Amino acid sequence: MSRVAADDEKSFTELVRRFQGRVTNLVSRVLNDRECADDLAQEVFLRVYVHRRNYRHGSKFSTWLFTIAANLAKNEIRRRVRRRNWFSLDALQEMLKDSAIQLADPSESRETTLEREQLQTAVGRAIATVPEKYRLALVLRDIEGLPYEEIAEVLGIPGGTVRSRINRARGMLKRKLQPLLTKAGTS
Amino acid sequence: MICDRARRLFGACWDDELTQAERDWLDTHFTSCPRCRAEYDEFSRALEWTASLPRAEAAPDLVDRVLAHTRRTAPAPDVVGERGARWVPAAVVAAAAALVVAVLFVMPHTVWRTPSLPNAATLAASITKGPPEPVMVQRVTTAPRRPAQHGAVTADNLFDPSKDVEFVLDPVTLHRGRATVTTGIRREARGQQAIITF
Repeated sequence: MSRVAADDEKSFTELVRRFQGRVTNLVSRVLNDRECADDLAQEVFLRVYVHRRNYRHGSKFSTWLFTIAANLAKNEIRRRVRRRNWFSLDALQEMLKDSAIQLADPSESRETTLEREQLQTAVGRAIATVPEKYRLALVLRDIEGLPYEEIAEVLGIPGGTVRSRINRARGMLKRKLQPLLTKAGTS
Repeated sequence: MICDRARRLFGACWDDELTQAERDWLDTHFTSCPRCRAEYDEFSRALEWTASLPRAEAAPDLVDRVLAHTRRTAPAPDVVGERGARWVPAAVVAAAAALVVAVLFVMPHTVWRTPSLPNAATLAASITKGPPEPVMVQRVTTAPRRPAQHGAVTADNLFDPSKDVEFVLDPVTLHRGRATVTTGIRREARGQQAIITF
């Protein structure tokens, strides 16, 4: 990052390559909109570039990066709420379909593939309906795998609040998935 | 009650943050409470599904798009910059020095005072009800010195007690310790003069 701050374009390119997947995944899971996630990921890296000299070297780069991404995602959610343009579930389904094809096991039967796709769609939808402040914490913890302390830094809230939000988000998610869980438990 | 306690530990159990004592207690509870066991299984299955969602890949041209934008973007001002010595332009130093000299030259003739007790009659006339009220700062000028007729003036006295002192009251506003000439003051409050006879 210090090389990026010194206007080293190669280092910045490397930085984008290294983190583009995580940033895109985070914002697409929070927003449930693949196209918007691409644009937002681009905006995240642009902000990193513009504010490269303001990065504090004592802190972890990924924390700073996720803070920018989380803030932009929050802004986007709020903008959508204001415009009453809620989540694009079609885009989510399209994305999940693409990903499912990408990761499909060749030995998997068509029925199993369909079931898995349906399940992923349902889980994606369930996450999308968790309220924003809980969803961000949930995605950072259970999808991105960030430690609680880092999530607290990213979201700018105390560690206890992070734990409480994640617990609540997990409870909400479980309730939303309850029919599928019951079905999976009996089969 | 026991089940509530067990369910509060589900999150920490999933995160592998339980102490050995808590883990042992939860395992014991699970053996005696199949409902909590089933609840935890569902809880962990929901989180497994979440964690195993396929990752969204970045757009193939993301790097190129970002670089294309950065090439025409200037960096933001450095707010974390080092706090080093800051050079003061020579012109500013010269102006400050000139001001000090001028003040020293003028001081024997003119005295500037911070707000003290102004002429009550003048103030009463100038004070309006609408906020904010200007602070009246007195510019005090002494009458031209003439040879003392009724006794000598003591060295530490700014005024000749035998003469009238003219107070010219300029309405100014004090803001953060700096006095600025106030506009919008009632006309009658401007340039009030009072003659005080000792």
